[in-house]
Amino acid sequence: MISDERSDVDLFGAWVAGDGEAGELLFERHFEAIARFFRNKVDRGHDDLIQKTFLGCVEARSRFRGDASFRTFLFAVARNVLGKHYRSARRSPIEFREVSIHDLGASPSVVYARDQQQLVMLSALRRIPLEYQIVLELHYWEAMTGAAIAEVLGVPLGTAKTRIRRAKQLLAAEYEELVSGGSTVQATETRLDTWARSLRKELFSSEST
Amino acid sequence: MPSEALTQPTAPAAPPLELERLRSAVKSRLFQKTQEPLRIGRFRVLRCIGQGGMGMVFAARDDELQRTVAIKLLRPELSAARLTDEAKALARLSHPNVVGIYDVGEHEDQRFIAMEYVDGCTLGTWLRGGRSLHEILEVFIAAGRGLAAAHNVGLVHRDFKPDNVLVGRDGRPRILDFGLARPPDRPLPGALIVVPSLPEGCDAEETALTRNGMLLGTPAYMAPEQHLGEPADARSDQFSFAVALYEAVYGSRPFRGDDIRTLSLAIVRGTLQRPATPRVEVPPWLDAVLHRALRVSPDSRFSTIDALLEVLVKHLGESMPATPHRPEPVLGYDDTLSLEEVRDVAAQVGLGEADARVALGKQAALMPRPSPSGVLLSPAGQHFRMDTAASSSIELTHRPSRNTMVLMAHELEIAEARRGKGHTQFIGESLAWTSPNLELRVLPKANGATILLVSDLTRALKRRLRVTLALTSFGGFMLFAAIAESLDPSGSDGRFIVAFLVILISEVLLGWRLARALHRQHLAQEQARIDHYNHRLAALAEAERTGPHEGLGYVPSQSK
Repeated sequence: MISDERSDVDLFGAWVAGDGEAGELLFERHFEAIARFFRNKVDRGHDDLIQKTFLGCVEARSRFRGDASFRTFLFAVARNVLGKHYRSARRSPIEFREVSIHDLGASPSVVYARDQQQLVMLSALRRIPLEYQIVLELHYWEAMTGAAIAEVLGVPLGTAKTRIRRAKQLLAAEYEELVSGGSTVQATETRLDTWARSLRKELFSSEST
Repeated sequence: MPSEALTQPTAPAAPPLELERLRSAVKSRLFQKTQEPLRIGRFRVLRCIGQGGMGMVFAARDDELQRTVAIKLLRPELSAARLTDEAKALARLSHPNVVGIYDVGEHEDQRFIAMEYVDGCTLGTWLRGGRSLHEILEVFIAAGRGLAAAHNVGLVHRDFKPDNVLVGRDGRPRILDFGLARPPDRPLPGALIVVPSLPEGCDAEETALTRNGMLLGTPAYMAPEQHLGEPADARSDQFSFAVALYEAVYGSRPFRGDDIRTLSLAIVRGTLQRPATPRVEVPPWLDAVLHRALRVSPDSRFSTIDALLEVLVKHLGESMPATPHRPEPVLGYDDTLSLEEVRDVAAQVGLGEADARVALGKQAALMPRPSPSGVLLSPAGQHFRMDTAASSSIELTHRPSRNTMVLMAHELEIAEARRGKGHTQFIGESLAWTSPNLELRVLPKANGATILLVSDLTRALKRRLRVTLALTSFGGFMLFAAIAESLDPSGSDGRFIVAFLVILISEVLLGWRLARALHRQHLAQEQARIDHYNHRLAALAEAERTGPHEGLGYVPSQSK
């Protein structure tokens, strides 16, 4: 197969018109990014969500303006798919700017962290409201500009920049709290020795009263 | 304390095989192409069947031996360790209640274990099907035998829990994940921190504790010595076994806590929490066995799990006889209905009570619930085990005059004009205003009075129930009709009828649940409404106190 030089927009147009090969190429280009999108937000059913995202693009093609970037369109669809996923579980719409993955009680099981710091960072990301988590992950992992993020969220550029700023603040706060041991997540991540020792101490101190 | 510079979050990487599998799966579905089958070793991957603390589990096909196997692909950091002696011993162990190990191999830097594929569900899921005591004991005894067999060859599980026991379609339990989670003697260089984060909805009680990336057990089931970081032995397995059995019969865990720390403390102190209503009737001998096995000190427990099992087996014959074979419930039904409720439900669908009970699988020993005695006011009214009355009461510091009381009733009458006319009467010194759904009582006392408002939603609930039950029963009929097509009526009358009843009753219960949810909402709204009314009435009475004695200068409010 000769490597395709066609732009995303062209491939999308061809796919929508019935060219399966074009669709496959487009899929290959963006699959990993979409898989990454869902990785830190849902714990199972990734196949389904990724599939729905790509199909959703085809279904919503009338809303795709040819001059915009396909990638932002794709992520906007992914964001919708995510919202629908949680809405159906909770039977009420999700307030992206208020509720976090952690609040929803869902947690991506088995998060592969390179080290302790990354682990805590991923946990912190799941504790800030969904909208801000999305913004930061797009910003850091997909290297999206403010303008691109604005397109994904469907807001003006200024608003997007404010959201990015706010998101960073919230993340820093959550990270701090986790690192300083403010919540129970810390307990599971402490080394067992420290845990056991403190448990013993508590046991003895309460018995002596 | 100033925070350190926050470094940029980097994306979590998925293991190559999983990413590949995901890509393949989605691509083939999107583009209807058959992809090259993934292979692990000589096995052909069929699908992902789960994700555990140690890695992903796939169903795969051994084309050479023509059988389906389960492949557990260990995480990269877990794959580096030398195969422990225990893993080897496990591979040599062949017992009907232990998942058999067929092969071990490597696939792109990840170690995999090929093992027996069990077609069934976890013990946790199996227990949710409403099992009798006898059934539970049988399964746990069998599982216990598996544990005993492993103990006899020197293995310790360290993470026994219902999720680590698979129950096949043949009803035989097999224990999974033996001794593979043993921490290495020395921390591995560059060991990754692998923490299964809190699974959906279950929070602290499900999280596994880790040390240097190796799993050490699930807090809710871990023995006290494990919580304290001491080495675990066969008696720790016994403890975990007892926790699982306790949970199965009582319906809730012996040790509880809002977070892991509290839970750990409860376990280490041995503070058992007895549930208010056990799920099944628990005989004293079983209670004694559980208490012994749950002792904080390992020396106080049974010496071996065999000893524990002996006691269980001895009394097995005495436990309730196995329920007559009934088809698996179509939906998990709510088995906490009382006799009254069964009657109510049966009446709603026009079934005889006996038929309803058979379909619900209830035994003769149902606890009759005393029906609320008929009084003019029943603030704690209940029907179908739901509160059907909202009530509000306010204490006044001033005793209202008869005029005022009449005015209060009048006020309420106007506000409720839409819903029905009320009737006012004096019973001695107190006023009673009664309308179809709302009751007011003003009860004067020495230095004041009580205003009591009660709203009864029984009728509304009954109406709602009728509608939802009718709808869902209809659905049940349709479902049954569809199934009836494929059943041979001539040969299986009995099963036919029972299947019919089961489907019908399941639909009925679905309708009941729906009605209950709607009713609760309604009740909350009603409560808010009568609270509001009551405050208005109280304000009215206060106005009399502060205003002129005759003529309140009060204008009745317009109805809402």
